[in-house]
Amino acid sequence: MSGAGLGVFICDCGDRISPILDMDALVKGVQDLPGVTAVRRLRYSCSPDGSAAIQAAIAEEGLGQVTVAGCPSRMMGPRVRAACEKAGLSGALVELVDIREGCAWVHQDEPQVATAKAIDLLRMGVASATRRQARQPVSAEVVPAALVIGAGLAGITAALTLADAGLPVTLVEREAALGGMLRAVHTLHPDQRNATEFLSSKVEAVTHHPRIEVLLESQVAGISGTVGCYTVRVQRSAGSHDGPLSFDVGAIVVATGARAAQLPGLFRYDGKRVVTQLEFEHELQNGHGDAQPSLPADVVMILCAGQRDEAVPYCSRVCCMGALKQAMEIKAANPEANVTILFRDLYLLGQEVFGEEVLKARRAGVEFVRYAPSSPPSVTHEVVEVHDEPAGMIRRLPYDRVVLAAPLLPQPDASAVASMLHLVQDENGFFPDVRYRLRPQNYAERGVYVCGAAHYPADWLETEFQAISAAFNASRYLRAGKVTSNAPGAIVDERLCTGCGSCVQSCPFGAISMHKGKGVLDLSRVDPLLCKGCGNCEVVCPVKAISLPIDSDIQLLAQIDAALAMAAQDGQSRILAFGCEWSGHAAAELAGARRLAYPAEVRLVRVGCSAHFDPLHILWAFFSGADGVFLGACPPGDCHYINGNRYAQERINTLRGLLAEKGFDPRRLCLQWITPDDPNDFVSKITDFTKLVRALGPHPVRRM
Amino acid sequence: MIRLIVDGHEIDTEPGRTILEVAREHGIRIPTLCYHEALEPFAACRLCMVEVQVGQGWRLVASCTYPCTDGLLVCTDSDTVLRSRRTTVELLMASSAHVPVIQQLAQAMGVGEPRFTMERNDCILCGLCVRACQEIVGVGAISVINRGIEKKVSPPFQVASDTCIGCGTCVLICPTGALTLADIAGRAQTVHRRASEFEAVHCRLCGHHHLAPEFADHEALLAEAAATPSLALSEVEGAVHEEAVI
Repeated sequence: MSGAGLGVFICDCGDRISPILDMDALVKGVQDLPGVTAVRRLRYSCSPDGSAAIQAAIAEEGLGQVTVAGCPSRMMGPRVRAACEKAGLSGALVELVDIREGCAWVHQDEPQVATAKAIDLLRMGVASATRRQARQPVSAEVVPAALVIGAGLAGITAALTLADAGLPVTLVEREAALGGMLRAVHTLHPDQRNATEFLSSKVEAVTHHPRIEVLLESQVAGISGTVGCYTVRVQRSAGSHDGPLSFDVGAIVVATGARAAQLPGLFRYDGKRVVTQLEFEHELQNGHGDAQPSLPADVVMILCAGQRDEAVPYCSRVCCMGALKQAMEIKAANPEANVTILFRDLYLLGQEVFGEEVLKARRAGVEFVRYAPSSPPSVTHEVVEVHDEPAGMIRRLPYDRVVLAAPLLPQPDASAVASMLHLVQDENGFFPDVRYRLRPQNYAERGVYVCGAAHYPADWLETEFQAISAAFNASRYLRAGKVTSNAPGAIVDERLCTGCGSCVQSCPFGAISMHKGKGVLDLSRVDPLLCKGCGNCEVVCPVKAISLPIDSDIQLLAQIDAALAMAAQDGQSRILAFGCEWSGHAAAELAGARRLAYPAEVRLVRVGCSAHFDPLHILWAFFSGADGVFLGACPPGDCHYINGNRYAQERINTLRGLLAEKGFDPRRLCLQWITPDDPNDFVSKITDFTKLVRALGPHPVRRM
Repeated sequence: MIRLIVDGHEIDTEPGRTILEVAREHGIRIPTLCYHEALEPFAACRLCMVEVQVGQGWRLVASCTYPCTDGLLVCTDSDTVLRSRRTTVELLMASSAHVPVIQQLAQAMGVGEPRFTMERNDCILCGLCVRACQEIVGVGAISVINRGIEKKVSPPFQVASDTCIGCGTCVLICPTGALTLADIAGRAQTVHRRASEFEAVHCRLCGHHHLAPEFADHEALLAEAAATPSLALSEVEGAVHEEAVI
């Protein structure tokens, strides 16, 4: 890095900015700002000649920081930063100010107002740039070994795939045998292959594989360490002579599976005449091979038993296919058997193949009766009574056996696994795929993969597919040997931290933990490889001990001051808008690109996530002269940082309540869900808000 | 330093620049659609055609990719160049005459009604979105698929992409507004949580159930029932419903 001066480059963008804005006024507006040592106008800052001019200025004038005013950072950021890096200036010290989409193109009908706004935007940019801190990408080595938790079909398949790829694998299973739920299954659809044979070949391969260590009757007791190197503690069962084990792995495959629910009392369930599907598999297993057919002759299968209701709202996805398979098996053994399937909806994985299966079953004489969720079948001692919904009549079906499609539930200790591995649990307790919708270079992969029924109820085909896919991802990750993150990871100032632990609870990525400080306090520490830079901790920290290297409190407050500095002079109203990079800000840029005008008193500040909408900043804005504060966040469910928008909503609601309590009109503070690709919606929302604030006039704090 | 002559003006520049870059730097206007400062040149739209002297003759080249050489003679507004551009715009108008960017180009170049018509399409296949996703964002969630008149921008296998990060850079860079995030990442209301989810449709008979769309077409079945008065309605409904579910 050469020097400490800040160079501001203002781009004409050929003739796309210069005819609208008074470029000389912009130069004049910034050249006297503190820290600014050079101001240049460029025809194109992005062209090779423009880059060369910036590089030359960095070398000649000893610039330590560069601000380029032109088009959106999202578009030109990478190229401008790359050019500066060639001249030896860290890309992190380059600020881009959007005066084209953010100003010139939305206010092209009012050049004077637009120029004044562009000067404000430049002042904001300079204020932020001079407070920027350099940051380096963080990286870590990855231990080339894997842990697979759970040795059902998913775990076995994942372990085999990883081991075949040349990686050492430790397979941990709670029970005394490998195979999980598959051990209780007789045959597998669609080709009725024998599950025991299928499984035993896999078990054989796992037990004899030179790179797989199998730990039976063992449980993962704890996982410490971080991305790249997890230290796993495994607890052996009480009867075992081996003590607890501890070893390091780089990747963890979670294949903990699901469990079949017990249904005491439901449909007269007794485990004998009324059984679950899995129990009936056992019966089929034993029934075959006998000299005389011992399979029941009248079988009624009730699908969606104890599921898709209030207690278990989801569909277990495997039972329809299971029922169909069992029905065919009974019919094959005894074509005279009466098999009736009572269903609500049939959900058949892979419609094309299994639609055929239904037809085949009907031709074989399996009867399908649809019942409505409002009138479920009732089981008496002799018959199953059901209201046949399409036929509109009551059917009474005698039975030898009632087979219930019981739901697959998450493992009872799923939440323990979730907290150990920082997995997200969905409302049902499964581990959904969390795919970070962030720029790929902005986060480090954690090396934790979920597959099989731990994910959601899955049949064997799907489970096998998921396991192989998870294993491939894990092996690609392990073979890379290194993880890197460019995310603007939060930094804790230990001199300020009071050890309250609020940040630990608020972090959606589990990146913050407490550790013993030098004194009596526990201090928080951010894992830079887990931090994605949403800024939620920066907001909750009561003493502002945590800050992000970009968009720090100091930078944002300086931007707010710069945005509102001229308001006192020109007496015009000002709307300060905070926009999440992924929604509010993106929609504003798009409005610019489409040249949709919105009121010029809006000054937009970009933050990484709506989790970073800080009540402090909002109050600061009101005190500094903003007449209204507009916040644009991603709609619920669309947050790129899991649930930042939910945090924002609660904070804003609370703040509005507090403002109202103090006699300050809460309508001046407005949070809106903005879709990034709908500029018209953004324009109408911000225009309406501006009209409202104009009607309200200057607020009391400002008048003082 | 090399020297080339563009439309009679002598221009000094560094080696390695393209004709388009040099022309823009010196205020010489060359229309473009697929060119973007933030991306590598692509030479797809063929609007930036210029003539350069090669040996004894002149040759039409795409200025966005043609490198400058010492002593190169370039003409950006010869009749051949303008005719080439007009044809390109006319062809673009065949499917995208309603798009403002194309209308402006047509007006500037004096292109009237196109001689050809194609199915109306906002997308002009400039490839900006695809390249922005790859080069700027580093994701590569979309690509150009198919060939010839079937060519279009799509996520892989034409199903909602699960690699798209929803940044909207493709939407921002699109010159015609042909793209929304829903086209790429999808916003389907889904019944089951699967990797490839389908859009659920209400059953029109009972209203309680959700069906995959391919099973929701009752119209044909009901029409058939109407044409067969001997069938009792309840039977028909039952059959339709069962059919729809299974």
